Amino acid sequence: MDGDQKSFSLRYVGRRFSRARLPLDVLGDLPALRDLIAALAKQEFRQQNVDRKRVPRGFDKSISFSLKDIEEGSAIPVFELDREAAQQNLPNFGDGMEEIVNRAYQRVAKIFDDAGQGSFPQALPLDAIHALTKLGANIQDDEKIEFRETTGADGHVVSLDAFRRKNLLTRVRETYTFEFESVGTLTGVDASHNMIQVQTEEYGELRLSLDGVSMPAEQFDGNLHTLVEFSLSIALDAHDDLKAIEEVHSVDLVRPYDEDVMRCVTRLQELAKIEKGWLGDQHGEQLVHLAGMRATQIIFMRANLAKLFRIFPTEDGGISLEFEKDGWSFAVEVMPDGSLEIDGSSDSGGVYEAKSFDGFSKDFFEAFDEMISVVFDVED
Amino acid sequence: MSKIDDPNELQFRQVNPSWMEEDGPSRLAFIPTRKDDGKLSLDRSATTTPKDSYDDFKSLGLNSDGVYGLTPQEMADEPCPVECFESPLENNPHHSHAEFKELSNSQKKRKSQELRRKAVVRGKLHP
Repeated sequence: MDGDQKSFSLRYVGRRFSRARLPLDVLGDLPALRDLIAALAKQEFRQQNVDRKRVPRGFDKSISFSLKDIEEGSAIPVFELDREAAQQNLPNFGDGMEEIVNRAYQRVAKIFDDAGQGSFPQALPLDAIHALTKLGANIQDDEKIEFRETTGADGHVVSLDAFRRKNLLTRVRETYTFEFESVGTLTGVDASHNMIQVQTEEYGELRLSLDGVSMPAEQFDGNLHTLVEFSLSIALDAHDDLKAIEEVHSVDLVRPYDEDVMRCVTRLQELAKIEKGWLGDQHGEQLVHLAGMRATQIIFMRANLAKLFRIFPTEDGGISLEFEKDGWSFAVEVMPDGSLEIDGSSDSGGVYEAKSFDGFSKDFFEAFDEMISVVFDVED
Repeated sequence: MSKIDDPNELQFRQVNPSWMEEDGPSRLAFIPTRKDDGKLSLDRSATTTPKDSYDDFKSLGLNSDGVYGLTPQEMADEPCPVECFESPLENNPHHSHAEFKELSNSQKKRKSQELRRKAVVRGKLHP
């Protein structure tokens, strides 16, 4: 704190934030929080000055924050109101703006605290809703943002996590914004409308407009069934069903820099083309898209093993990812429904008993790493 | 259907092209498929050659990328021993099989790894 000026701080909690690391994708929370505070401050001003149609000129500009520090203890960005900006833009307010901002910050915390208790604001100004949709958009399921120096109804510091955010946003509007980055398979190119079609594991087939994206649709021509990586803002409803694609930030063909990963991806693309009956007499199902996507993700997430991976279709439309090292043979079987099974055995009688998983999880990757630890030094 | 007496009589196994990568077959090639009713389909070296076995298989409209070989003794080795039986068919008098029915799914997977390793050491017999 400088003199008696109040500073604000958020505490980001989660593995990504250890040792004061603040990933760039969450930096957008800070301007979003500023916008939210400003929106609520304006609302308060209007409520207290019913005779005025508008807030004074310079009111919005006077609410400007400076990032002072990022403290350790997870990552704790500390910021404070820029007094100079407040004075310049609203000279008649004196320290009044600081008090309004303090109250608006506490109100932000109360909105999130109430949401945690199942209580939601009946109405919010549009600019506040707009800012709310951006705040915490990149927080993952096992992460949260704590609003330091606030206390919730349960006596603990008020926090915002993905679940609370979703509940809140779908109450103040029908959908909430989710930043969606993933890979999918290119299933269509419509160059005349500058659109492509991408099959995704999470939300099925998406039609993406490439207006405003550096790569036009025609550059995807001739790449059907190829993997594409993309970054989107999408609107989800309270059930996490996709309602709209709000913005396409980037789309590109996956071009792995690693030739072993590329070989695996190419192999999966070939397997995606095999037709039902490949085992003869109507036996052998076509590869199920979900299984192919999961296998792709394993390859990318364990790219250091790509050189060893051998990839085969299972008769029911899944994938068998097999690899060997130092007398051990390992396999990950990806079932058509996306569930997974791992096992291993060695030529000297060693066994890693089969384990099953419903889908991707921390447990799956821990078990996978444990399985291969007999022959690999598994790094964190 | 009787058990194959000679523990060293090589049994031929056809491997589907989708179950082959450049350096060898998948373990899936050594697990009976659903249609096989727990029986891993083989051909006997006592009555046919790898080449004839391959040609006969393809002449039935089936796909094979190559022929690998395993002996009844290798099948009977621990872990998860299985036995080999002669089981001639109308369209394939050389047919035999290894009986996997008694094995659980995880045992089948483990056995298939063992068989694959042994088959790969012996190498592709044809083409």
